[in-house]
This record gives sequence, C-alpha cells and structure tokens, in this order.
Amino acid sequence: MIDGFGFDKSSHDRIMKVLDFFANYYWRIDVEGIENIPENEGAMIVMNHAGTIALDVLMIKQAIYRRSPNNRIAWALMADFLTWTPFVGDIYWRAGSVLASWDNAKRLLDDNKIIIVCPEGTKGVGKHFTRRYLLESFDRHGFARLSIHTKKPIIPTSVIGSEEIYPVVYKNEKLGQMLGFPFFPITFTFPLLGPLGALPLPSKWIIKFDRPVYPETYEKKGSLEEKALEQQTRFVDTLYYCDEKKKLQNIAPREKAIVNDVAKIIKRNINALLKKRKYIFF
Amino acid sequence: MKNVVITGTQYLWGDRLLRKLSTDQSVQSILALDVQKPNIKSPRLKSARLSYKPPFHYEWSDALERSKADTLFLCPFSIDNCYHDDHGSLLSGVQNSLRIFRKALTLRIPKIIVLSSFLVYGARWDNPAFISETHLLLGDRQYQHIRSFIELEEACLAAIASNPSHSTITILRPVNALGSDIENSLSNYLSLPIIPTLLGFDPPFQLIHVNDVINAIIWTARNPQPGPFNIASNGFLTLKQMISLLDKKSIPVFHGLMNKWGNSLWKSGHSEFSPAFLAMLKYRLILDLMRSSTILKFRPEWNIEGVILEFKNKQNK
Repeated sequence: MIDGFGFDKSSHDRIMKVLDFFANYYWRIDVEGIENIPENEGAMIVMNHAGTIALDVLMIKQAIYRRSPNNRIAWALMADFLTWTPFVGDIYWRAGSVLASWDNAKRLLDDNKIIIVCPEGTKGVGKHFTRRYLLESFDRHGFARLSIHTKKPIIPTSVIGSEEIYPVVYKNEKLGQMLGFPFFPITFTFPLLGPLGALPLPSKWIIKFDRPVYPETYEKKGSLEEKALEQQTRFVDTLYYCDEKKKLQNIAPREKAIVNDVAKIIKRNINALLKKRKYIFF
Repeated sequence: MKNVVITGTQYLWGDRLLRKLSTDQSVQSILALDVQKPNIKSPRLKSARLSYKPPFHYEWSDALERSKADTLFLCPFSIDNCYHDDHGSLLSGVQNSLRIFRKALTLRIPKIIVLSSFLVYGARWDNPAFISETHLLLGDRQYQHIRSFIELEEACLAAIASNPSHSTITILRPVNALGSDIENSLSNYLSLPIIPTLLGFDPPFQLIHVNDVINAIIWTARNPQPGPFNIASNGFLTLKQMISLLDKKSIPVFHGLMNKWGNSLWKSGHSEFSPAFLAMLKYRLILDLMRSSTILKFRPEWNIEGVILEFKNKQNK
C-alpha cells in the first residue's frame, strides 16, 4: 500500500537491498558523523551534488536508513523533470522522494521527517570533470528560509566519490531537452563503450554528516516585520536607481549567513575527506 | 435545515440529493430549480424553471424569494458525467449558478453549499504531494466544464473573503466518485475490458463513494463551516492497484501516443476521456483532507478499497 506521498514501504525496502550492494561492495562507502542524524526530529540534509545522475542522493538515503539507530527514512527532494520522466519518476516517488517544492518540504519537516536538499541542483550533477569538488553556487536560499520557517536544523553533508562515477567531459543541453532531461552527458566511457559505459565507475566514497546548524543560533534577522520592510525598500528601489548587487546583498541577511556557513562547512569537509582518501578507487 | 433549495435536479448530484432529502421528514419544503421539473412527487416539493430567457427569467427568482429558504444547495450540473465540452449548456449552467448565488446572497440565505470538483486544481506535474484548499485553482481553463467550476468558485471565494455575517458559504470539492450506479469518465474507463495505462506512470488516486458525496453535502448543511473543503475517502491506491483489485488487465501505452491520440479523439468527439482526465493517469492529484477532517469533521463511510470493491461487484452483476 502507498501513502499520500506515493511512498511504498515494500518498494523502498527492495530498492534499499539493491543500494546495499552498491554501498557495501561497489563503492565501499565509509560514513562519518551518523550520530548527527536526529533520532526522531525533523532535519534537513544539505549536500553537495554530483555524478550526472542523482545516485549520491540515493546513497545518502541508504546510509541514513541502514546506519541511523532508528532506521530513519530520508526524503529526497527531486528535480522537476523526474515527475514527467516515465519509470524513473515513479521509482523515486515510491522510494520516498517528493518534488522539490516549498509545500512538500515544509510538510515533511512539520511531520518531523528528514529531507535531503541539493542546493546546487542540476548544475551540480552536470558539471565538467575538471570542476569536480568545486561547489556550484548555492544561489537558492530556499533551504535556509525553510529552516528558519520550520525551526529545523540543517545538517551539512559532504560526499566524495560521486564526482568520479560518471566523469562528464561534455554535455549537450539541446539533445537533453529533446529527450526530456536537463542535458545529455558524454563521459569518458559513455557512449564510447555502449551500454557498458553506462556502468558507474567503482570509486571510493566517503560521506560525512557534520554537526547540525540551528537557525536559532543566528542573529534575529529575517523576521516577518523585517521582510515586510525589505519588500517596501525593494519597491522604493524600483522607483529609483539602485545597484542590483547591493540590493541582493541586502536581502534576508540571516538566510544569507546560513547559506554561507553551510557552504563553507561542506567545502571544508570535502577538502578534508579528499586528503583522507589516498586514491580515487581505494 | 427546514426549507431547502436544490439546483441542478436534472443531473446526478442534484437529483440524488433531492431523492435523499425528500425522504427526510425534518425537511419541511424543497424547491427544485432546473430546466425541467423533477420526476419525484412529494407534497413538500415545489419546482421552478431555471431559464435566463424571457418569459421565464423571473420564475426561479420569484420562487427563490417566496421559498424563505434557509439552505441552498448549489449543484452545477457540469459536475456529473458530462466531461465533454458542451459550451452553450455549460456556459448557461455557470451563468445560472452565479445568478442564483448572487440572489441567495441578497436574500441572506443562511447556509449556501456549493458543490464543486477537484478538477479545479488540475492534474499537473508541479502539484505538491498534497493539495490543500488554499492551493491555486490551476485546472485547465481551456475546457469549459473546468472553467465553469473555477469561475463559480472564484465568485464564491470572493464572497467568503468578504466575510458575510448573514450567510455561511461552504464549497465542497469531492474527488472522483464511484458507486454502484454512477456513470462518469472514471467508471467508464475502469469498465473497459482491457484498461490502457501510460507506460512508466502509476499515479496514486483518491476516490469517494457517491453516497458519501451526498452525505458530505447534508453533513455540511447541518454543520456549516465557511470556506472550501476537499472531500475524499480514506486511503490511496495507485492506478495499477485499482486495476488489480478489479481483476482486470491493463495495456501500457506510450504516453506521447496517448496524448496525441487522446486529444484528437476527444476533439473529434470520439472519446469521452478528456485531456484533463488523461492527465490524471500521468500526474498526481492528491487532496489534503486535513481541513475536512478537523474543521468540517466529516467522516466518509467508505474507504477507498470498499469503493473499488463495490464498483467491482456491480460490474460482475
């Protein structure tokens, strides 16, 4: 039986069994900081995103489900194109994913669920191999706003290994859009080796869940009154000349502070994990 | 609920509601408004012709004024099985509904219950997991039957927003209804010997039993609450689970093909499955029932499996 989100426990467990193989034998994932996952409370996993297809999100789900004390299910916020992609979208819904939207995320957090957010979006998964482990901009402040709104902590999460599974050397956005995807990737092995090239490379993965970032610890900026004032200011700014950059800097300083801190923690952990991992495959 | 007015008595919901209330001894008088007189004989029942053409255009208005009604059930006829666009009749339907609604407001009828549909939301790829009553009405307005609901609802929502002290306006938005003797697009679709589904899509569905829709309307009249309410049975089933419960076979069809064929067959009048209905086979349209369970406090008698199994029993007979 499914619930209203489209989640099916039996399908989820079947998918987890498949992911177990990848986690334990193929990518040999090491997980650090699992104790930072709350036992019952809601939280937001904010992670770096890479690997052409969102396998890193699935591996985070697997790690939390198998290694957290209460076998917690983490709900992934999925990209919009997955909802109109046959089979894939259906699998994602059933495995505990929802369309990335404010309503869905808020509802899950209010129900004390764990959600997975990738602020880099498709820019992250489609980046060139030469830009591996460089974070794309976290220009969407939605997760920080959501955290303030729901008073739920953010757990900055860093993943290494996912960048090497499909090393993208070229991407064609037009061809991708024709097929209903954001881009069509060309990697070192795909389509050169045919279907064999679609097999991800067996890189060594490490996942680190850092300590939660609580929105309450930031200064009390971004209250409703302050936002209303900002809206008024912005309206006045439209009447007169205003530097766009300056205006952006003024938007919700509390959100911006959270985003900057989370990005810094993720980047710092990525660098530390990369030093820890000696070779790509070991 | 002593003196009631029911519109759309020639069609599914109005007719059913009229039959149910005509057996209810607590109701003292019923005024039926529609293009024709209802086929029910009861000393408590009066009817008036609903027309916007002279010389009958004042008949319903006068009858409504004389009725001294305390409850108005606005059941626009386009909610029943006419998923097909019939521009003229649907337009007159919504126009008449709007006129009656405005008249009811001026007459200060204490309870106004408007039966709308979940079609006002539309099955869209960007729908949230649960659609609450505050969600935008993004149903496809290029189809007259959906546009009619949205236009009517917009007028009702504007009236609710003005917070009238003399009337409680309730909008009910039931999901796909099934029952032993109902015929609509979903029942016809599920009655096909082999059911075509979209390859790679298996969206969740909510259903409601036809009797529960009538129960919800009467419940609302007895326990009125202002605002819109989603109405559905408890539980969810995917399309394939429904087909499996019906012991039927399905045939997956490529969704591009279904869209093109479905649209052209619909436009040429050879199919009763509108593109708005076909979208439901692809995208999710799940309603949030929080408000109906906590504020309206309505509890449907049937769960979703019961609705499907009853439909199956009717098919086997």
